[in-house]
Order: sequence, then C-alpha cells, then structure tokens
Amino acid sequence: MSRAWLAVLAAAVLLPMAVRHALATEIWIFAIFGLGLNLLLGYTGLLSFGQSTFFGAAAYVAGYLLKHYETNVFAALGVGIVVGAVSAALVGYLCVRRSGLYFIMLTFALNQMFYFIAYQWTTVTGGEDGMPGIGRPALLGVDFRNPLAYYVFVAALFLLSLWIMQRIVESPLGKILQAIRENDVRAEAVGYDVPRFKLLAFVIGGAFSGLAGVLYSMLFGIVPLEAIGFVFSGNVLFATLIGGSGSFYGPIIGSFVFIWLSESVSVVWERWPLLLGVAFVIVVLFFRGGCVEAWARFWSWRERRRALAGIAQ
Amino acid sequence: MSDLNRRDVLKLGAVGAAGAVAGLGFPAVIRAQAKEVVMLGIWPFTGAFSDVGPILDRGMKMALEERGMKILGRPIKYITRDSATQAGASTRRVEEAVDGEGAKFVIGPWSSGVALAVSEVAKRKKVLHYFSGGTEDISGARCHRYSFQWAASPYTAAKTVVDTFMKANPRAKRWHLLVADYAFGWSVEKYIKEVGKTHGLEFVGADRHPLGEREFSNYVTKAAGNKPDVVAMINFGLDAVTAAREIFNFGLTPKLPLIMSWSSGVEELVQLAPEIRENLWVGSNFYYTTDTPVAKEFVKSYQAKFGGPPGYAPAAAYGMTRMLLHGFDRAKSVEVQDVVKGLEGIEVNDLVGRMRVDAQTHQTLRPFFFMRSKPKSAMKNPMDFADIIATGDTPLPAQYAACKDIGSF
Repeated sequence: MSRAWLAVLAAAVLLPMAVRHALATEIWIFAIFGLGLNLLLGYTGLLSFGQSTFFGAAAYVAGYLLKHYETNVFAALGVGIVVGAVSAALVGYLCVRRSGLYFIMLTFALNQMFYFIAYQWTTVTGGEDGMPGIGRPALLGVDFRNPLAYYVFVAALFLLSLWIMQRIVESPLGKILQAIRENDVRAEAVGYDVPRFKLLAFVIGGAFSGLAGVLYSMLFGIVPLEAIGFVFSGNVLFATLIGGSGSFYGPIIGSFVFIWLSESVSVVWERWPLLLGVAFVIVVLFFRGGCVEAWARFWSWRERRRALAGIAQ
Repeated sequence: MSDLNRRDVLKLGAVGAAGAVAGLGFPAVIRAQAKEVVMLGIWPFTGAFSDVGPILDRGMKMALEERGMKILGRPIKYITRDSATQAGASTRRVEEAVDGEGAKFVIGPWSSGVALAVSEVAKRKKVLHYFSGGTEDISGARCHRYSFQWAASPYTAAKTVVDTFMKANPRAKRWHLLVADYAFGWSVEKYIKEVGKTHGLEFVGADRHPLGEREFSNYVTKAAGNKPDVVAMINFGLDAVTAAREIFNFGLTPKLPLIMSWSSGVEELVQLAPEIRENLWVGSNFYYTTDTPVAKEFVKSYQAKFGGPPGYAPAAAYGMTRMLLHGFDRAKSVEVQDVVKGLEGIEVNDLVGRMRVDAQTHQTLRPFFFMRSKPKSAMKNPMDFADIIATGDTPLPAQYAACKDIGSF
C-alpha cells in the first residue's frame, strides 16, 4: 500500500474526530464527485461544465424512490449509478464529437436544459422548493440516521470508489484516455476510436457523479434545485482545479479545501467567496497543478536546499 | 542567516496554520453555555439575494437589542450563518449551528425554496423556525409544529389588492397578469383569480416568466396586445423592478395602472424613477408609514441608525424576532416546545397592527398593506413614495387550507 493510500485512510479515520460528521461526510461525497470529473478533466483532457447534470439526475431519481417507496439503500445507490451513467451517455453522445470551446458550451447548455426540466417539473422535483423528505433507510440493522454510521458508510464507499478509479486509470483503458489527452489525433492514428473512448470516460465519470448524488440526497434529506444547477458544476470543477486536476489525489484535496475552508470561513467572514476567488487566481497563475503541485514544488525545493547544504558542508 | 529566516517563516506558517485550525475549524468543540439562549439568523449574505442579507441581519439585531440581548433573565447569543440562497448549504449550516452552537431558535432565510429546506431541518432537529415569505407551504401543505410563517397568506394579499384596487377603479375589469414562475407566483395568481370572480374580472392574459428574468420586452408586447385595463405583476425584487421599467419604456404605464401585488416596498420603489411610479399600486407586507406605535418607534430608530426608512426585509426580520420574543414571554420558558405553545394562538398588537398566530396552521394572521404611489410633486421627501390606502387581514378561507393537521412534537 502506498503512502498516499495510507494518508487517505488516516484522513478517513481522523476526519470525523476533527470536524462535524455531516461536514466530513460531505467532503467524501464531494471527493467522489470530483473523482468522476477528474477522469474527464485530468485524464482525458475534457473540460466538462455539466457534471451536476448526472449528479442531480441521480439524486432526483434515487431521492424519489427513497421518498415514496423507501427503497433499499443499495438499490437506491445502484439506480443512482445507472441514472448517472445513462444521463452521461446521453450528454456525452452529443458532446464528444466536438472539442474545445464548443464541447464546454455543449456540456453547459445541456446542463441548463436538465436544470430547467427539474425547475419546471414541480410535481416530481418540487421545482424551486427542492425535493425534501428523503430518508436514510436502515441497512442490515444499522441505523443510518446516526451521523457517524452514515459517515462510515460514505467513507467506505469513497475508499471503494477511489480503489476502482485507481484500477481504471492504471488499466490500459486509463492509458488510452491519457493518450487522448496528450494528443487525440495521434491516438486516432494509432487506431483507437477516440469518440468512443471519450464517451466511455463520460459514462464512468457520470456513474461516479451519480453515486455522489444519491449519497448527497441522503445526507441532507433533500434534493435542492441547485444540485443540478451550473453553479454546482462549477463548484466541483473549481474544487478539482484547486486540488490539482492532473493528479489522482487532487480532487480529494480539492474537496477538502473547498468544503472545509468555505464552511469555516463563511462563519467568520460574510464575503468569503472573495477568498476562493483569490485562491483560484493564484492556482491559475502559479500552480496550474493545484495544491498537489504546490506541495510537490515545496518538497523539491526543500530537497534542493538540503542537497545544496550538503555540498556546502 | 537566510536559513534562519526560512525556518522562522516555516514556524510562523505552522503557528498560523494551527491558529487558523483552532479558530476556524472544529466547531464541535465550541459549545454554547447552558444558560444562554442561542438564536440563529440564517440570512443570504452571498448568492442571489446577497444585498438583502445584511439588512435582514440589522432587523433581527435591533429587535434583540431592544431587549438588551436578554430574554426571561437569560442572555441571548445571536449568531448568523450565510444561507447563500442554496438549500444544501443552508441545511448544512443550520444543522451545524444547532449541533455545534446549540442554536434552538432559527429565523430566516429569505427565499421560499430554501426556507422549506430549513423548515425540514427544524422539524428533524426540533428547533423553532420563523420565516417570512411568499411560500404557502410553511403554513400549508408542509406545515409542522416547529415552523411559523410571518408574512400574510397569499390569499390575504390577493384579497386586499383586488378588493381595494377595484374599489378605486371599478371599471378596470380587464386584467393582465405577469407572474413569476414558481410556487409563490402560482399561489398568488390562483387567489387573485378567485377573488377576481367576485368582482366579475376578466383575465385577458396570465404570462409566466422564470425567476431572475431580465428581458421583459416580449412579455410587455404580449400584455399590450391583450389590451388590458390594468397590468398586475406577481413577482418580486429585481424581477419586479426590471419588469416595471420595461412596461413603462414601452408606454403602457402610466396610461394603464400597474399593480405590484407583493412588493418589498421601499427597497423596490427606490429603484424606480418617479415617472415610472406614477400610476403604480403596491401591495406589501410592510410599509414604513404604518401607523402603529411599534412601527413608528422602529422606523425612527432605523432611520437614525442607517439613514433611510426600512423596507419589508428588515421589518420582517424585526417583526419575526419580536413575535418570537413574545412567544417566550407568554410561555415563561426558554424551552423550544414551550415557546411553540406560547406562540400558538398568541395575540398581540405589534409591528403591523393586530397580529395573531393561528395554532392550527402556524400562519401569522395580520394586515397586508396596499399603497398608491405618489406623483413626484406630492412627495414630501425623496423617500416619500406612497400612501397606504388600505389594509386587509381576511384570513385564508378554510376550503383552501392545505394544513389539515399540524401534528405533534
């Protein structure tokens, strides 16, 4: 087991002791969401501005089932993952043949479309008011209404997601996606069906978003309209970029920084988004690889200092 | 030397980080003292209504300060959280304030959708929640023992607006409605049409626009095409202001009267040029010339503090807080369920006149105001926008009441 994995495990165990359980739970949910985006952004080089489409769609469908039929938790999660994947396949199908700005705008536009469907379809989604009253049915005798129990459940699912994602990015598929990121023309020339692989990345990313969406709806007991809004898509993008989009662990760090910091600072300072803005500018100007790059640079700088000091002595 | 500096910097960084962690994080460690009564104002400091958050905060603070930040001999600790006009963030922050800071009494937020989410938290966490706004559901379909509604029922508003307007303009029978397309808009629209029947009104059009619409020209052309005697808007805030401007620019007003059925009063009127306000009729939950002793006192001290008259937002925050404190007084207890019982059926003369809380629905039964805007020549000062021409307090008739059983604790 690598050091990074140990660090993640330690964080999963220590986090609920440091912050409130609900907040800790949300950090891991957001991290799952970020993992899905990072497969697109960091590994395939696709900037999707519509991730909340899959997150929100899954949250609504699973939320509806949980609310009206009190479905089994695993069934709800399964349905959410499928909804996330299918909606991503739909959106991906329309988007992957375009690139650059057109691709981004399409993901954004389709996100808006889904948003307005949710907004208008009030009998199901509750529209502006959201869909409240989503329960957390017990599983195998464990009462998930206990925040700690739910945290453990989410953290375990997060670790599982992280492991699966690692398997994916290290598999041949992952390498193909990275090849597409580096140069899609060359990947095509080598013989890979680039749009198909992009679509596959979309579907996998959508499945992760879907999982996060269901967990989110169960955490708060409500699917708010903004869960499918473009600001939410922006948030996960933002968190992933701050954490480091090129890196495997970037979204986790990003999720932690984004949620924990915004929660803590918003209590002290009303105009806290300003701080996030400054952080974003710094990342874009100096650390394109986000926190992960900043950390790596700090270490290499230290190593060099040490080496130089060694030579001097 | 440089080495030392670097170490110092690192140390400082570590100390700073530790300080930040201690100060900002770990809210679970900070517990409220047992004797304090912790009240939470969940206001929109960022996001869609970030301009309203600070003035809501003012209103609540003023009501608490009047009592010397004390209730029944106990100190009140007033905390705020940013609702960001997002249901998810609000839910999370209210829960945090309840668990971490021991907040037991929650007032706010500003948007109806977010309020319903907060109301769910209140129900789950068993804390008292007071809200003022357009949604019918708090005291209707989603009523429960812990949430209260301060704003008048949409029915009360519709009845006041239509009855008073028709009294002044008995021949204006053709109405065109411009409605914000969400729960609040629909319920006011429904009741305006209901009340309209009794006056034999003809609704020549009812156009719905999305929340946050900024381009009203196509709605205005449609309205003009219907040749109405009056245009009535059922929208709020910047939507209402933008629409009123466009309707004026198109030349519909001031020839035709324009009704803003559910306005925040001063906050919207100040954004309209005097010519636009010429034939304008405004319904509101509060106007600063309200003739009650409490309102007079409030307006005086608000003006002294902030240099302008209060609109609906600060008045609502102030009014809700006062009602809540009356609830404490009546219950003679600081326990949530006692205060809920204290508020149920309470009857006071307060900010907007005679106010009563319906125990069956948790709706505050209270007057709604209808104003007529003044021409520029009649304005005594730059903030003298309108005269209150009527108030109405007809409660929601039983056949419309959606809160069948408010339930138990």
